Amino acid sequence: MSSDTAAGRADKVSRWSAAERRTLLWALLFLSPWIVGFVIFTAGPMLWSLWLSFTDYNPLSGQGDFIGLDNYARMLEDRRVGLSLWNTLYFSVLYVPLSVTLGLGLAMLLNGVGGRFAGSFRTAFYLPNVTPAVAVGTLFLLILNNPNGLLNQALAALRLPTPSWLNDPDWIKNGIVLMMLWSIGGTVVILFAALRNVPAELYEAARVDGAGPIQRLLNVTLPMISGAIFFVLVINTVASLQLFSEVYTMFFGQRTGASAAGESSALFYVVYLFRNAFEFLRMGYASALGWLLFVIVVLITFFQFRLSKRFVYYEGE
Amino acid sequence: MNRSIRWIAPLLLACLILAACGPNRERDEDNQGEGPRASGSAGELDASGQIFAYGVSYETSDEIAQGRIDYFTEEFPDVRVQFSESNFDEQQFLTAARRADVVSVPRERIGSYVASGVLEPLEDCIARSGISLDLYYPASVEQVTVDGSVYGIPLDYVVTNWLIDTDLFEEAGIDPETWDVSDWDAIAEANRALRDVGALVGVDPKVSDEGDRFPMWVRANGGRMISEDGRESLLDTPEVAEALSFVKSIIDDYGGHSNFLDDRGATGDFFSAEQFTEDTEGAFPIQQWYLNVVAGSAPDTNFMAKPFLDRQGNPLTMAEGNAYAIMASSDNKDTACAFITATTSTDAWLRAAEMRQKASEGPQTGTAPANREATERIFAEYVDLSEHPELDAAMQVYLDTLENAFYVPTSPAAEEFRRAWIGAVTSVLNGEAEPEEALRQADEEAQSAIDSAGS
Repeated sequence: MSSDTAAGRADKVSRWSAAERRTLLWALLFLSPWIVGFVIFTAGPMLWSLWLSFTDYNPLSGQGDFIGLDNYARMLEDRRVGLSLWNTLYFSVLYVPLSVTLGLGLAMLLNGVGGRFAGSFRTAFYLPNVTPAVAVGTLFLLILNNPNGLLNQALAALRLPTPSWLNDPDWIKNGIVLMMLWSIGGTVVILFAALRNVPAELYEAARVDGAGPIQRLLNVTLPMISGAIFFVLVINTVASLQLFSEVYTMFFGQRTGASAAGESSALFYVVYLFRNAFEFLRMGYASALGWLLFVIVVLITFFQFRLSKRFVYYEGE
Repeated sequence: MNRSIRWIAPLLLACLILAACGPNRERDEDNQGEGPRASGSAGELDASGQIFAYGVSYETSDEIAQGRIDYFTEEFPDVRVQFSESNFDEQQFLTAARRADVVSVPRERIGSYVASGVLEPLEDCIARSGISLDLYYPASVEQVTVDGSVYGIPLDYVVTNWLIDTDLFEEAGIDPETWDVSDWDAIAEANRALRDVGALVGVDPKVSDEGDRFPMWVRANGGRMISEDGRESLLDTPEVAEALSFVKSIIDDYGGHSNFLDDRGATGDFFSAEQFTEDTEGAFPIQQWYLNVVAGSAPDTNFMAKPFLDRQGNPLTMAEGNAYAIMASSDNKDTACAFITATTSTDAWLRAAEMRQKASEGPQTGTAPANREATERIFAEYVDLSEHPELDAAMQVYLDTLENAFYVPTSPAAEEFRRAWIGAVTSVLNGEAEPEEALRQADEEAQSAIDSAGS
């Protein structure tokens, strides 16, 4: 920042009227709960974990020495980092497109539901999202059980193959995708709101021009809600990279109902991070793992934003 | 799906607050009942004031814990004890450790906490309380001894032997009495024969649930998982690889690990002993607590116990259990010492056995103290299984093997070591890796963890 620019800004602030300064103070006052919360619960812990990532901090003894980049070097040799990253990316690649596509389909169905039952349907779709993650994990231990689970009994009734969702390493991650798709109510609600905002006259104009349902979907609906689709794409990607509670409950908790078959197949990145922090007492290493995940999330999100410029339409731009 | 790691920090804070206001229960002088009194258990200790015991339950526990704690509160009426009312949990322990005076910790993991410097050596406590460690089974004491210092008073002592569905064996044409469990070929043949007569599971080697009994198979094959001092991983040795290859061959007979797990999941309610009452499972090695399950749900079902044997035919079992330890940060170590020594004393255990006897409506198979004298007296004075000869005979098998126990030595990276070998066993059972390769990798990981934790 040049001194001229800084001086210019200072001059601009000093030119603010008393009313403007008062407004600013009020704004800051109203924002202060968030600012305080952000500093204490987000920025502070982030900076602390950054420092910890350069130490061998033991959370039990409360002691740790500075070890430079050792934790980051260790990640390169730790095969479980690669394994957990692979599991997490596999899940994300399956889950994110499916959640957005299925969410859009359900939102369109909801959009077509009118009358007094509309609210009930919306509530029903959103209900899984207010179910605690631990309850979801436990519930799906029962649903995905082979051969007695609800899903496989249904598949068997239809004479379809009944995979071992909880025990077969080839199916464990697919079972987790199914479980998480049960909770896409948030995605549905956001896309449903976007669909409600598409002007009806655009559809009428398209219809007059002879556009069929598919053409109206591709040329009217999708462009008009592309901002919302992009939003859920980013949010779901970030959330999928941070998947933890349900998987930990199913495969790694103390009273897990699943066998150890998920030891490698269900070892997601944040599960491994958590284990290092709280089971292996390696908080420094866990912090370094956390920062690697942060960098990965930032890079993927940056890439998504770059792509969005080509595919996302914002009204008013 | 929007539950993310950014919630962990506030969640931990919430847990802290909840832990502070939550489920802890205090136990003070409101005890009832009259049990045998200890003499001189306080020794030279000045026990008074309040202590917090993490990993210990009173209100939410059974009569075994309540009996021992009642005994303590009668002996030390001026002491107030606050309980976490929970089992040991690593994550909770991180927050509870700074205010805990006593912790009940699995013996196998004690080395990690010693390496972290949070546990107090107990030589002074043992000397001043006047107890003798000779009272306890040697394997339990050795497991809590790190670099020559004792860090825990052994609480319980659980061993493993075979339980067999005799009906299924007879149907398969195998005499369960002469079935030679030191002969691994005979075990594999029995597995196939039992499945041929309709058992969902013939023989479960019990290695699928987080590795579970795998160290016993290794020991039976003449190997060890880790050196006596807990500093050297021995996973990459031929004995371990051979043991893993064998248990995998049993699992492979089911068409793979997932098939085995699915079949086992269909054997019925494990906690109602349905694998015996429904004749769905032939044999499996398990700890003696399971006899309580059988006694409670099907005391007259046809089954028998056989000692687990090494390949030379010698009885061999694995000792497991918890120990009470004192936190180095405790500012009331005398009282903590009084608690851990009094609640594990012979008189405390007898009090517990008496309470269980009163509370029990059906046959009861006793308790499992690490205190040898308590074990002998409980089974002589409180346990009567004469009306249930099969249960009685099975219990006797377990009692006869108490002195043949080995233990998995603790290490400075106990949990990482455990996770390393569980990962290897699971990946081999899943068909993802060959035994030698998986164990070599696990050995490297385990040794690296031990070296860095112990440095």
